[in-house]
Amino acid sequence: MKVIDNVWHLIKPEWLEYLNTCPALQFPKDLDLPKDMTANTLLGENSWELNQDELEWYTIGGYDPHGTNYEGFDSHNCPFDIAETINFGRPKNAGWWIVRQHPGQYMPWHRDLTCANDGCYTYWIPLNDWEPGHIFVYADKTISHYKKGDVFQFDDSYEWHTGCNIGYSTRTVLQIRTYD
Amino acid sequence: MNFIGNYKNWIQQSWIDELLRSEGCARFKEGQQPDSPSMREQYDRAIKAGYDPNKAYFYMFDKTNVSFEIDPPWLEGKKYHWWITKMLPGNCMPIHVDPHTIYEQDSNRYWMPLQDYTGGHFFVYKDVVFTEYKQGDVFVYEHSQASHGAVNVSIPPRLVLQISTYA
Repeated sequence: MKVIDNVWHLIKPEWLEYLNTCPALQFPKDLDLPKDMTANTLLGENSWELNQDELEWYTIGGYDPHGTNYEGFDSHNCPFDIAETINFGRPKNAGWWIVRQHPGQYMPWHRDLTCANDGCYTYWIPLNDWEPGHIFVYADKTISHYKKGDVFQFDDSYEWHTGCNIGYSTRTVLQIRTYD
Repeated sequence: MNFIGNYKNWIQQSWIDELLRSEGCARFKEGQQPDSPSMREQYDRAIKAGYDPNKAYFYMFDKTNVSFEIDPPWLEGKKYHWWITKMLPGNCMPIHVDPHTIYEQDSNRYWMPLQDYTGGHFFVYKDVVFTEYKQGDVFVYEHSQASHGAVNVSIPPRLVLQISTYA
């Protein structure tokens, strides 16, 4: 995972205003997960299909499927489309999402459900300067002391990683994935 | 954090079994109220940031709630106190400085995982997340008042022995 750029100049103040003040999707609470976590089925447009890692969080890991571990934004709950502005040269093949974590929130250790190779690129862009307790781990590497807008590119989009917040301020991260 | 050595053979499986089946003291929920200015300052900061004083963020064990003795072989002749933290999936400990290291004389802080590292068992020391450690590894803080914290975003519970020596 390496820094390839800084795009802070492309981040619009109105995006930040929205992200800092508007309600987000609460994960996993708002996913309407089936009560029986062993049932991995799509139940409707508000339901969620769990991959194997996610199933283990709720079945053997004991994570609460009805709690809030982190909050999320994407093009479905934002009045703007970040990929129109930041797309790393692939405007028609870029997706984005934002994770917001208040102190004490976390995402279980995971791999993204995505194409592992062949033209899939994942970019990790913090929207705050690093502070103690703002954790991002990629494989066995700690990512810290970053500046807002720094662009880190995953070496492998299917690598294990996670972000947590055991600090004292909200942590917000933009992620962009492109496909050839 | 400086590596002291590995003492895996000193760890008893019966300790692990007892820690896993016992609940321990839930912190912050059942923890002591701040009893020093530094503890008060950190506690107030955590509450202001949004941590819930009535939630169980981790579980604490010490000589008052386990059946075994801890007598670390690498600390022969030194005065010490110890505690064990258990973190269930989703538990965490905010970044902090141990208050007792501020008022104890010649304090040294030791950290020993009771399990091999597994992805998501994170110990944070200043700006580094410790990974790839082995059960029984012993590390000493370079500075006993270094900021640190931890989180378990894995599947298995996480168990760590912590020791402070003092003059």
